[in-house]
Amino acid sequence: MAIKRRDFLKLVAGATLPWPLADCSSRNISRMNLQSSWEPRLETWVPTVCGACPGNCGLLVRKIDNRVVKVEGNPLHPSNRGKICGRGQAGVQLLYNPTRIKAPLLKVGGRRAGKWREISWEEALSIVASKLTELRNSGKAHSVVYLGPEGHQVADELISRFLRVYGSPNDIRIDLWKALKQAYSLTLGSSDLMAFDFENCKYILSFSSQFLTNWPTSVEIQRIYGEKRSKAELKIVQVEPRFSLCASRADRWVPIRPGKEGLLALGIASVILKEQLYDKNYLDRFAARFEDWFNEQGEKIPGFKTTALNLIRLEDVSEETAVPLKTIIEIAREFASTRPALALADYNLSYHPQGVFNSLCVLALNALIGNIDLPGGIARPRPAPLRPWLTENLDAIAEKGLRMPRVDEEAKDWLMPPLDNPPYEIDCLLISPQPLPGNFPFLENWEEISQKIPLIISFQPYLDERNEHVDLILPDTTYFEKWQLATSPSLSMKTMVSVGMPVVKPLYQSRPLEDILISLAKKIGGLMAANFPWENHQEVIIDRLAGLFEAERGAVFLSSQEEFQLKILEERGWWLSQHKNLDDFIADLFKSGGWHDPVYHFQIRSNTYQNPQRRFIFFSASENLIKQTEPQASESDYPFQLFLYDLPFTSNNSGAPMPFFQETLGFRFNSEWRIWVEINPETAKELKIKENDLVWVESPYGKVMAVAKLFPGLEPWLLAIPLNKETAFPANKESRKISDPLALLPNSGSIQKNFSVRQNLRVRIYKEKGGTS
Amino acid sequence: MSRWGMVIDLDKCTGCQACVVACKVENNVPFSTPESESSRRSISWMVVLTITEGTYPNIRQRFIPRPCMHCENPPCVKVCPVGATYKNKEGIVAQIYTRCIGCRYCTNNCPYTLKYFNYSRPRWPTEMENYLNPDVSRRGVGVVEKCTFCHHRLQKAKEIARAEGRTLREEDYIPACVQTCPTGALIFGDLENPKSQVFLLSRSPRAFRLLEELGTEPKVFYLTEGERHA
Amino acid sequence: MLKNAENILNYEEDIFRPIIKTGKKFYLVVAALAAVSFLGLYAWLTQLKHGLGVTGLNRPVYWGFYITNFVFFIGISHAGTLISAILRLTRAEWRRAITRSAEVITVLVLFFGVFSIITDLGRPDRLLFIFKHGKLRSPLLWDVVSISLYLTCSSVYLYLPLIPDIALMRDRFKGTFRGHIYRFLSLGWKGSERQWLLLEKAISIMAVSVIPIAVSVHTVVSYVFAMTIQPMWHSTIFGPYFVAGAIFSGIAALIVAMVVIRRSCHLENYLKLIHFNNLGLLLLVMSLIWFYFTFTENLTSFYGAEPSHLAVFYSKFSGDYSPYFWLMFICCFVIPVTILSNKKTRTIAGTFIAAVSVLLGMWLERFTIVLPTLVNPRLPYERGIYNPTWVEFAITAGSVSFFILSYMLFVKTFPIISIWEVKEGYTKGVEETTTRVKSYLPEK
Repeated sequence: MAIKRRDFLKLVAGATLPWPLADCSSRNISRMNLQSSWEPRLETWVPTVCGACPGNCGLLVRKIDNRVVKVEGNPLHPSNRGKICGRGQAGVQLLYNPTRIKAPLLKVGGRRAGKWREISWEEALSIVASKLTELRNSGKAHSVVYLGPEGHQVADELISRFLRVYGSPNDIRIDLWKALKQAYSLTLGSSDLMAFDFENCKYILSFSSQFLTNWPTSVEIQRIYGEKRSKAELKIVQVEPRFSLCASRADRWVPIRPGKEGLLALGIASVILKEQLYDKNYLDRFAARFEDWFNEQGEKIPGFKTTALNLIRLEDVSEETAVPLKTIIEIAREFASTRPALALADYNLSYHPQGVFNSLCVLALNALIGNIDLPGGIARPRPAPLRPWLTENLDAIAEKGLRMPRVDEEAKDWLMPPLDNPPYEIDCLLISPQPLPGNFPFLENWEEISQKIPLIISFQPYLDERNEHVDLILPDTTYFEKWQLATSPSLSMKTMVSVGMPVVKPLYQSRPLEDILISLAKKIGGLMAANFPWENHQEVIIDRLAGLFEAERGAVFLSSQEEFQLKILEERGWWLSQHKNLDDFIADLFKSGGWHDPVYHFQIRSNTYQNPQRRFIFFSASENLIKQTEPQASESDYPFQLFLYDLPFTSNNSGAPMPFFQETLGFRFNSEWRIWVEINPETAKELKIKENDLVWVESPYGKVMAVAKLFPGLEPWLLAIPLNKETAFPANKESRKISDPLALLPNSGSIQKNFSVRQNLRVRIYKEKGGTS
Repeated sequence: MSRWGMVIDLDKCTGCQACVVACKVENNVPFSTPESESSRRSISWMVVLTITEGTYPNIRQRFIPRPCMHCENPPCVKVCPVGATYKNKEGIVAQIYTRCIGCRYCTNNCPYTLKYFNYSRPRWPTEMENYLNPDVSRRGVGVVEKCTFCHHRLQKAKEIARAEGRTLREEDYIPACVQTCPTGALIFGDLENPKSQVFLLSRSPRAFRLLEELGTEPKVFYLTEGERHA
Repeated sequence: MLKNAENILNYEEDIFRPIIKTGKKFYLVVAALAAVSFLGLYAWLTQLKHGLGVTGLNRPVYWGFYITNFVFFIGISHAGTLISAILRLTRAEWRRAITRSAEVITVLVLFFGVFSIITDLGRPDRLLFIFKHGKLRSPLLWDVVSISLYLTCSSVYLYLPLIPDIALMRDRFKGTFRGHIYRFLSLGWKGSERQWLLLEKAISIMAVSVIPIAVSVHTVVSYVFAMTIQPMWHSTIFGPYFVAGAIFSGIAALIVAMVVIRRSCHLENYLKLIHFNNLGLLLLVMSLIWFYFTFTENLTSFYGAEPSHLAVFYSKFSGDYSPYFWLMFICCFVIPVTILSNKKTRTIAGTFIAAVSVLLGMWLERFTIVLPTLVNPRLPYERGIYNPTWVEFAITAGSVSFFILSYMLFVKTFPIISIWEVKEGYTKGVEETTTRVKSYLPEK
């Protein structure tokens, strides 16, 4: 037996042995193997792209025969280098999930009470195609709305193409980062997210930014954090109201009143200005409106420096932000004297009405010390040289449709589509396969909104109560079951393309969204079909990848040593082709997991500064901006301020289908499936609330039952509740009913407003009678 | 003979939970449920413990990943009446699930409280049985289980090395938690090999072990957090 | 002489009466106990089907009622053999009427101790692995060895003095089905000189050997805890502490049994006030000793102030387990000492109350030894919580009921008072005591 086994291993490299009853005891193993009839199992490792979040990390998937049993990070992937987060690890539960939809589902017997009926793809596609054709022919192409999260996969581009060719301007992406993007657009002329060069920076001043846990690039940042920590090369200062995971890992936590980050940044800026610690050279060459300037009418407008120095009194800042004066000055000096230093802003600043202002202030800090377009600073990612899409041929209907205003055109705020009050009726809503951010307040009045829309089609692969108002589901597959092409996530400096082949065949009757779109276009026919000439999306991907082969730079993923060599050569203007032909290249590409170019050229002015001035444009702080809105409800009725925050790795969605992931989220509070509220121990003592007591937290709009957790990581007048914590698997309406913190937000009125008062809500707290758990 | 051990750099641990999830997937540990939580019977071989110190605003929090310590003098092994838990030649403290009678003496004598008992039969939704690792047996009701340093990976690495006609290299064997740790806070290797990273780090002045005073001689070493947190 | 013979006949009549006559009350009690026992059986079957998940055990509270019951039952087993052996060896003449009822407790309750361990196993189907794969370095194996030895010895020790009485029964029930069994069990006892000689020799050998075994049993039971490295389990005092506690609860159990037998079998003439007085004094002494041990044990932990020990200490002293701890203190010390130190209250009723209170208190003592250590793990986990379920209550109640039931059946089958020993008291005891007392005194 033993010889046979060895022979087998020699034959199949990387094969594993079956130990169906294996114990850890080697004695037992040998005995059991003799007894059981063992059949060799084939173990294979397949590289692909992780789709558990928008991070697009490289994966190596362990397959036994035709099953996926484990994922590991792809060691060659330049971003995650063999590492992967807990969410990624739990990805196997996305693939093999009991709530997966097995075939296209059609609602029969009315939307609310209706039942699902499985239908064939042929039927499903016909229904959608005929409806879309009908709308298109009746001049209502623009009333088809797609709603989904931001993404960097081929599917996202196919959707945009589909909508444009079809004639709908309503390619709506929910984007939590919009405030920061807007700030970039105002300062650097492009709303693309810039990358932060963590690898080379020495000091991080983070304003409520969850860079270690909630960014698409967090795995990469964690890797760099680990490397730098061992050499004590990085100092982190975390400014935020609550002692988050990031704060706990920082060298210093500076508690601040919610929403006052911008003001503190201005305070720090004013110290830097007063003490002349700013980078004069940079400001002269690359900045505008720092000093006083003249507008077109020739009027003198005070610049950033003047306004900051005149308007900002440090004592006021200290009082408003609750940050001691000494701390502000200390941080300012440290920040300006440790180069390179980064001031971080992220989507968390959006959770306040002053999000754009706060983001602008933080960006201004970076500009003050000249840390833009430098190693260790803010830099613009370079796109990968993928072959461009075939030019779209638009017909008259499409052109007419695209000229229509978007449904979210009217939105004065920068956040979300006012689907509850669109400028014209929405006739068909398409919902993305990825869940919408679970913390997204528009789901609160989902019911109301959905009633006004005659047809709602979803591509979601899982059945949960959020599909209640959907008429038709065309189930997408998971990322394990499709061809993938993903470019670098936002915030990454790496120029890379990650690719993956299907690791397993689509389970059940699910189909990749990309293929669904291509089939739909073909079904609709005419110019639509002509614009989608590919057989399937594998063809799309191969076609686009050819661009990389032709680019004559970069290489397929390499080990870090090889990458280093490539970088040295390329920086000296050398590039050697590794592949004879495109087929070779593509084969290698899929074997290694992707393509990347390790060289980044700093100081290409036109790349970084995309505004006409080619400069960083400071804003002028006005008194209006500095004055911030206060929470509305009366203080006596609702004595506490509530801080709702995203749990680690849940900024895009809660990951509800992954119980392995969900159960770990409450580890700091010993809570696997219960929702909790964090209370300062002093407050708790006053209210006679003990650890693990059941309490109600009530706002003027609703209430939530939670378990009390005493936590000294917030001010005594602040309460904190996590978002995205599921309380059961599979998550269901019942489990979400009393434990959904979104119930605390105002349910009517403007969605945008609701969203931004997230950290600005007043509540009261009281014990559930007889409630301890 | 190798002596496998782990070094955990607390300076680097971000409490991200990747190790915890990786362990559960690798070792066929069922996910917790609201019921298992309220009855306090959830199983997780790897756990990140949180220690919170101080009052607002001078608060400090430490995260301590806690696998099995694989003690040189394992208190659990001593007390097992049937030898279902034992220390093998390479120092790994292992479990024989098919022999365990479920007396839970070992769980009670583990000063780290890191052994788990299957109060009920572990269950998965049928679909999720697909991802179960064939290298690791599914435990039945009534037996004790705990971290094995992914011992099955060592078994496999040895088989492959033997098939390839070479000796086992240190890097051939790495537990799932260490493999995935994004910050590199978990380091694994042979404590007998003077060239290995764990050998050097375990002798660092920062190195300590949990409940060292009990003389259990764990093979999991921790590196204290640096001065920066003082 | 003739008067004596008449008396002896009367003893037999008195002592045989419960075996021959059965009242209505008996059946009622049997029915009630059987009902509770069946409930326990049902609970146990439920547990066998679903595993220990049906209990309130969890992590880190891996042990609860069952282990408490185990220690408690094994403790009670000391009633018998140890007391009767000591009394026999010291030739305490007042022992004659009580030895048997004590020895029966021992033998019967041991089974329930073993049963408690089986109920506690996660895999009772693998029970025999203890023999197949037994590892002697585990204190549990020491338990297996010493308990089986103890069970054997105490059964023999119960059986030997029973033989002459069985012979009497054999003669009385000649020809009936019962008689055949008695004949088989009497091992051909004829009461010859040689047989008496052999019997007495065997009894004294057993009496000598059963004492160290009994002491070892409870020491080893304490080792299950003491050999661990857990706070307030890992204690050098545990061996003697447990032995003292065992004798303490054993005496209490014996008193309760005697009071019940005395009333229900109308043996007032045999189990007299003096017996209860003497046992009451013994109980009083044990209560003081118990207090001494408990005091030492807790003061050491408190004064040493090792954090992990303190956590356990406070959880008993003022925390979650303080109600149990203080109730135990009242039951084991306050009540018995108050009642028993006063001659006026040291009546049959008084000793009975004290004994019942001690039994309850000693169960709580085991409970407060097992639980507080487990709920306070050393590493920063959440504190444990233990809420026993109906299954655990039912199995506990069932065990106790079934124990009482078996005891009653024994009383119905065999003479609960050793006839020949009482007889011997007259024939030999009186004379021997006189000689002995005389031998203490200076020669005239």
